[in-house]
Amino acid sequence: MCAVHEYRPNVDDVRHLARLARMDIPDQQARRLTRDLAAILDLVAGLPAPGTSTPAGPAPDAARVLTEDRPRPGLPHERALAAAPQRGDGLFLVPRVIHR
Amino acid sequence: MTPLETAQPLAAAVRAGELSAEEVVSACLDRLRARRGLGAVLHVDEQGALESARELDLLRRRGETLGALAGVPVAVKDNICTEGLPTTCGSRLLEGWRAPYDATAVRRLRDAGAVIVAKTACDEFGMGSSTERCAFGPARHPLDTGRVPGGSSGGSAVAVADGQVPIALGSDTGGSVRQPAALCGVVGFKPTYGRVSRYGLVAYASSLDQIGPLTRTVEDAAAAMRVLAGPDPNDATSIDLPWDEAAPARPLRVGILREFLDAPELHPRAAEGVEQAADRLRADGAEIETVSLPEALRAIAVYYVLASAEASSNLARFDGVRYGRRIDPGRGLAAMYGATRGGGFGEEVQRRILLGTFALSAGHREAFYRRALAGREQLRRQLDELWGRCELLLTPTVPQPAFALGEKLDDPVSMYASDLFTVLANVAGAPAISLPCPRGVEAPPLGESADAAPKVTLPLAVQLMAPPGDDPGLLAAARRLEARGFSVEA
Repeated sequence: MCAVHEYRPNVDDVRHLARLARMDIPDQQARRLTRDLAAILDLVAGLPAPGTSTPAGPAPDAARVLTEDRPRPGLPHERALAAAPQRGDGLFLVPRVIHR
Repeated sequence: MTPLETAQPLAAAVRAGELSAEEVVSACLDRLRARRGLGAVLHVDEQGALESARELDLLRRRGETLGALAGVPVAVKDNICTEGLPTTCGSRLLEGWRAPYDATAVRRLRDAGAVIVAKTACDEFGMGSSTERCAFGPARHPLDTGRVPGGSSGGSAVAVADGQVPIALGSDTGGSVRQPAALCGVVGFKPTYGRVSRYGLVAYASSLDQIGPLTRTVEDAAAAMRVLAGPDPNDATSIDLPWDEAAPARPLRVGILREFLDAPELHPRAAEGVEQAADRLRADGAEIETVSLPEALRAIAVYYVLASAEASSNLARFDGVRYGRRIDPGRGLAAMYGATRGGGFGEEVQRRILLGTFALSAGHREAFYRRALAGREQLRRQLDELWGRCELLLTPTVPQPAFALGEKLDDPVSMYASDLFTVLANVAGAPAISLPCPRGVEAPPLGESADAAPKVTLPLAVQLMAPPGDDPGLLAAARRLEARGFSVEA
């Protein structure tokens, strides 16, 4: 684990992050983002020091609720498909994944 | 005051038949057309708005009772779904997308008789503090077009400040309702997390996002909240709390947050605004005490880690498959994802996705994401202790008045500092409201109309914050401060 204040990303780190996030980023932009990310990491180095608090989870208390698992009407099939860039036979179409 | 500036008298006149909804909406559409140059709105729904207005007039003629917001024109931030209308989130990636359903907040407004007239400009997916990150052009400050109106709900703030609509919806993840309201000199209200359903709000950071109204009076914010608040089966994080405005008026115990007043970024006039608000609340019978929250200024670090982490997950859905733009270089599915997201998202969105991906990645998750979660718990616990001593916190809303277009575009950290005083309420899930100060900051105008006046007075604002759940109490206190000069009119 790296301490908050120690880490400095380089351009290869940024390219790796962009691959993880599935975003193609040109080299010039990757260099700019590397500089920005370093500055932002300086800002977030101000995270409170680890104290006795334990992270309770991503959502506030009031939001940690369970609801009954019961089917309810959703968006009709055709309307859900209507905005797809490519569709056919009632399905979303994507570029071919498996080539024979 | 023009008839389009406050909602309550308009709705009363429409319900009484003194004004037709069509007259009101037509006047609003005229104003929207005349003021397009400010860039507040991305889309005007002339036909739909006029049809809704005529329907309301028909209902009234039939003797039916009209809702609390009958005939009131409302503009909606473009990251909130409106059935059949464009909802771009200020992004090229969603250009041309029309939402297939209304957000719960929009449906409730329509059910109360409000007429949705326009979608307002915002920073892409709500990520920004100036509305310059809107892919369809920046919104401009209504008092000086060479300056920003704040953001990300900048279009909503301009529309209200410029008298285009009396109520606009915004969304507030780290201050995106209150900060532009402060810079434009109007009222901006962020409710308790969960008070207003997020169903139909395009998610940026789900544990922080909250829809809220921008208005010219506290009473209009309250009127909107009476309609908007309440549980929703479509949002499991919405809360079922009674909306009780009946509590009797009593002296308030108000804490002034020392750490914010000591912040080096604070403009002296903004500090004066807080002192003046304290004096006026004291004259109203309030007990004022300076209080300390040692970690308060660290909320910005907590916020940017958590919000970016959640954004990196939430925005994974924009992949060119189900909606929006697809860029397909013809080299298979993975290449299509990369090209769509690389070419569709703007730079600020990409920056935050990368930060969030980093904060959640193996090797850094403990030092960043988990530590930010622990930091949020720590801030909440410290705030809980404060709420035992005072029932309201008084702070500045923004450190500085509206800045020049382009001034902070290449300096993200400086831009993020605009949210220094607003993120705490989001991190705590607490309600907060921004009210204009009686005195702003005089500055030379930078916009095209620079010859018209040698100086403009740029607004500043104070923020009141209350414990989670006490939204009605917060609005009641805000009314008292508004009555003592912290108002749009003043």
